[in-house]
Amino acid sequence: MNELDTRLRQVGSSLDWPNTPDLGRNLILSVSGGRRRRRLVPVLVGAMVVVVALAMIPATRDDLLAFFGIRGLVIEQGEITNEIDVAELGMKVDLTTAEAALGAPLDDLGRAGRAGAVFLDSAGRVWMTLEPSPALRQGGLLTIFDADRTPDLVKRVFDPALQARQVTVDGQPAMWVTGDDHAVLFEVEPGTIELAEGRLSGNALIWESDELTYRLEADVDLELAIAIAESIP
Amino acid sequence: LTVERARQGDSHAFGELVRAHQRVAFRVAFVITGSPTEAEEVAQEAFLKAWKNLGSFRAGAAFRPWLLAIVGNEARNRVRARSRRLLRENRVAVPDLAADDPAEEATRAEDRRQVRRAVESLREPERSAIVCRFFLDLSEVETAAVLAIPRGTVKSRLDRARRQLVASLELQGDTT
Repeated sequence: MNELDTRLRQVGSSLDWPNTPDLGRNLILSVSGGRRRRRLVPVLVGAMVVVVALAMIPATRDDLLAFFGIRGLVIEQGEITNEIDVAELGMKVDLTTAEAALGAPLDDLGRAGRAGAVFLDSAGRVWMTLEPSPALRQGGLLTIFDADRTPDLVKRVFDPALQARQVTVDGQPAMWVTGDDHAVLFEVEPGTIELAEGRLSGNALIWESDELTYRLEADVDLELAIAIAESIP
Repeated sequence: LTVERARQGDSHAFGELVRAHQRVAFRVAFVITGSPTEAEEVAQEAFLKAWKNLGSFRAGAAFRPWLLAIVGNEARNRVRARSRRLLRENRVAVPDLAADDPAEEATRAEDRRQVRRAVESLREPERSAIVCRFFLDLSEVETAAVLAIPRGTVKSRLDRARRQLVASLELQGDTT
């Protein structure tokens, strides 16, 4: 090594680099059956789960769900409202149209009760407001989509106080997310992240059934959320 | 072995890879974006993409250059998203020198400042090659991956940079 190279390396080792964040601490990854089949199997790494991201790769149905912690993403709590912005939910449709989009019947939602408004967004996700019912006294929001047909979907849930834990629905892995209000973002095209949903409050249960991914957001506890999920045929 | 386990879908193995490479990934992202916050986001995105694409990663290939190519690409996309004009004008960021060690000879500290200034005065193509190769301590292959240029171009940029630095630092005959 010549003198110049040595001097350059000395400079490199004397630079005041910003501290490297512990990316691994917030990393939650899950794969199902290697890369063969997609499942929801969050593996929490460390106690300080600041953020959870959920990625589904439709093109390779080898499929994985990756839960990935993203600290520092600039989403201010103050920008998140508790109101459902229906404009974010896509086009209002009837149940038949939503069923056709998902290729699955939606007329019986079990203990989730009755759908109020139904929306279909451009990525093929169906959003249903749930009317208040004995199980859901304040109603809720049910999102259903086929992850294999939803292009390059990345869902992120942001909240410093967020907690995510693995649970089961019908014996299958599911994720229970609790915390204060948090937002959900979608990668609408590679590199373009949009706040697709301006709010999400209370708790959320995410599970899969018959090739569809479900997310129930409601002010319910885990036990009731699982009971509602398992009641949906 | 760790890479192979990760390729087979072992998320814990991938976690090991993240921890092993997060520092270099973060620093590469930092020199391109110039922002610690963006660098963290870029590094996260890059690891996420790496995880998604591990299936297409060639078995037996070196993981680090492959990862750093993703990081470099992600970081440039981030800068490009700010403004196309900024991307053209973007210069890799170099942190300041850490505070001098009082126990160290003043001449050595001054030498480092001199070298850093000389690097700053280089044109961007040569400067970025020097920063990657020496400040980030990347190999030539990794430098090529980060900058998305052929390895031969890295060599020629480094040669050119060395000649200019030697002239600048009055280090006669120090280009071999």
